[in-house]
Amino acid sequence: LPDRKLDLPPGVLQPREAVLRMAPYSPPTSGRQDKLRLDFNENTIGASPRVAEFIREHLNEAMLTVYPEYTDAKKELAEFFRVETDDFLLTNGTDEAIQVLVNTYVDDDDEVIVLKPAYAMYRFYAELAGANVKEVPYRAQKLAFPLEELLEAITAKTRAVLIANPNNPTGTGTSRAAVERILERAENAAVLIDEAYYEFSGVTVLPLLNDYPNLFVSRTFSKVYGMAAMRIGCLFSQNGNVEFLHKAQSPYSVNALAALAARAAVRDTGSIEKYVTEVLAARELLYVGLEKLKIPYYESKANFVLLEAGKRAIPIRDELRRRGVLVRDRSYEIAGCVRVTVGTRDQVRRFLTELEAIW
Amino acid sequence: LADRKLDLPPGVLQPREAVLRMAPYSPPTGGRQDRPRRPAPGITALPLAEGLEGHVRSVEVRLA
Repeated sequence: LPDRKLDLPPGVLQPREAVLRMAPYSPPTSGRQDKLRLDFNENTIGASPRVAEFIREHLNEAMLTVYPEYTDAKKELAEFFRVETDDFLLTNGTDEAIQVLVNTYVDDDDEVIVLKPAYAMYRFYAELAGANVKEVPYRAQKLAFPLEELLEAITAKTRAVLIANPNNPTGTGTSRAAVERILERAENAAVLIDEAYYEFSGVTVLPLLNDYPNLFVSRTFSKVYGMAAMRIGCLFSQNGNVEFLHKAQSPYSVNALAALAARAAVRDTGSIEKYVTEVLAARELLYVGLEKLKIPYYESKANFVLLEAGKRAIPIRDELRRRGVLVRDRSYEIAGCVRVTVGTRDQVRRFLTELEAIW
Repeated sequence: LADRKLDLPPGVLQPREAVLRMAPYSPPTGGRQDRPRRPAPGITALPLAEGLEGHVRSVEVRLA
């Protein structure tokens, strides 16, 4: 610690050791709006128009003066997800779900297991809490879910296991039966199954909620629902756990417009089903295009595909950006790989045209 | 910690000691929107730019 102090510029207050140690995570917060955005796995055609309509109908000056109210949103979302209102929290996106879970169950030096590669915020919040993060790598072959390796890594010291199903950025998923084996093995740990991309895979463990007191499931409105700007999601568990999660959560972290938007979003399931069908067709089209270009890729259960660009991963990302198409470089964690979000078939055709031109 | 474990209902995952210890803070998150606070009649809104002086004048208007 004294040595680290020397690295700080004069006059900078010493932060916690955990903050000094953690790797920074800085996704872009500007410069994306006028491009074809295939870099963040958002809905590429936007939220249901009914969401904006609903907000316009309900938004007025009086509403803005009142601290957010969640009664109606919780009732409607509970019905939609087929749970009770006290079986979940509204969260500020999945990020807050991870944060609240970690804040509730993980202490300094506790062991947290994450997979590698995985969504960066698992490690982010675990490191921020001062946890000892243990990584279990995806299998090199096809980036398959490393079930046996994960089961072996879980010990009596494990306090949390943070998993996305399907996983980002690999796109690969695991079965409900595999999750049950993890829940049984890690009975004293909080097991988070992040189902941000559930709508594309159709695999959920939400119905297992009453069977496993160590199960936590998160969902988001940032992906298929096209509401990433709103920052809203849900964290589900048995109501005894939800009481403690609620205790550890900031009381008004979800703003009133986001709560309104979520209500409207779950009323328009038709547009979501239509979009999912379109994405699944577009994903097949992308596979065919990549095969034509002889570009290896990993089959995905989500609305994104990881492709192997080899040593040209970063130049290809940059050249596509110059052409108005954003994709995400993942070569820092999977050699030579670039991740592309799957949107509509027209968008995939545009992506393939640009890719072919520079390949 | 062992004693605290006994207080938890069966099937509830043990939270951090800090979470068990902390006082709950649960302000209302429902039931207030249908009770709008309306300004009393007769109050003249004054430009904020008038600052404290404007506020004092607004109070004077109400008292009158």
